Amino acid sequence: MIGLDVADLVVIAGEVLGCDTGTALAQADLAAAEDALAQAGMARMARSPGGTSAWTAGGMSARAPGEARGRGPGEARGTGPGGASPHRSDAAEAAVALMDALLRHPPFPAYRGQMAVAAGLQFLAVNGWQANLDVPGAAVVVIERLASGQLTPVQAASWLAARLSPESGWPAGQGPRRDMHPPRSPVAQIARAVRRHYFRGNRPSPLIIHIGRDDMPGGVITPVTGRMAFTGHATKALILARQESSRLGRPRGPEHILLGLVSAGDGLAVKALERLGVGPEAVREQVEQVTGQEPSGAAPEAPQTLRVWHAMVDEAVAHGDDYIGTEHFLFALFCDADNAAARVLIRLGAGEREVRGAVAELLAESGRERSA
Amino acid sequence: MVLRLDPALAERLAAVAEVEGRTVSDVAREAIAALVEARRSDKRFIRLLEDNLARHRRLLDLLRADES
Repeated sequence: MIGLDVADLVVIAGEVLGCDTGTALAQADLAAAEDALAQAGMARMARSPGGTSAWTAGGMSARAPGEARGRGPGEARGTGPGGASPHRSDAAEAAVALMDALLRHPPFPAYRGQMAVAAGLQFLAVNGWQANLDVPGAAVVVIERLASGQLTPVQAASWLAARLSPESGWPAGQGPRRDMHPPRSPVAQIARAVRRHYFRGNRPSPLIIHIGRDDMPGGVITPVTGRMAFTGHATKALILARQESSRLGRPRGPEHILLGLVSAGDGLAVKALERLGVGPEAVREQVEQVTGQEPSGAAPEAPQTLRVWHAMVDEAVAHGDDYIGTEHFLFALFCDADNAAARVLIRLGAGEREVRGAVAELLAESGRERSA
Repeated sequence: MVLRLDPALAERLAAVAEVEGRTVSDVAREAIAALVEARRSDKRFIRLLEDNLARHRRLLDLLRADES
């Protein structure tokens, strides 16, 4: 695996701070940078100062300009496709270790979070991986929770690994793999088939969604996380959302999910909205106002709804949950600020910040870190 | 500036500093500046960095808002 060094951090800081590298170097707390790099284990990895030479654990070795960066000891275990990149989970673990170390020993304290993320992303990139953080709000939550110790590096690495894709396409059938549980049920077999499909084609992460019935909770299958079950309240909310969209003769959109959530009558989302003074009737009235002027379509699923599905999975993983509850749906509705559900909630004074705060309060009051 | 250096490297830096009549700290910072300049000429590194920052601009903006 290829590590970063102090010079890398200064170059990254120049871009993040929007200044030249001389200014960045003058502002850098080099001792903190060293502490962070040491904590993250970067010294054990290969490094390459500007194409002139490469530091390795065994000392300094010559390297021609433009030559591929060197590779460090211990890399064999984590080598990915074609021996070119570390394994997905190893890369995620090392990137999170770097981010965690930079959060605790910030070389640029005023830019602590930005520098940690920028360095982590750059570390992944030079090792052949790209992070797909399509829901920045969820990524911010992960960083904040990692910084405060509410999320362990292992949990954060698991979240990040699910969002990594090769920096450039791998040859067919040689994509990165993640060890998954052996298939033990039809659902697991479906999940495995989806993963194969995904990795072979290097396509965007697909979702298989089963809404479920009253007596059988549904869930989502993704290539990386496998199956994530809906809670009972979430299943009920989705059934109601489907009924709402049918009743209104519209493709299922985020606003129907919101109607389903508030109509479910119970669950963390409803409690959070109640705390913010938002009741079912107010939501229904606002949804009718907001969507009343919009043309109805024939598509079975509004495109914005697909974004909500993905965001919902992101939210669950970001919170370290292996299930999907109503609160994850509620957070996910804000993945597009201009969708009808987000607009309705904002109109009612329940913006993303307020909703996240209300859920956090409820969880704190109940003494739980996670909810069903 | 406090830097924990490999003893052999520290010895070399001290020697350079003594010959040139400067502090070890100055010599070390100058050495890092040279490394930074060299790194800036690594086109692949810079391209990846620029791509990454552009792709994750919104995330970085959100973090900046949190820190300010």
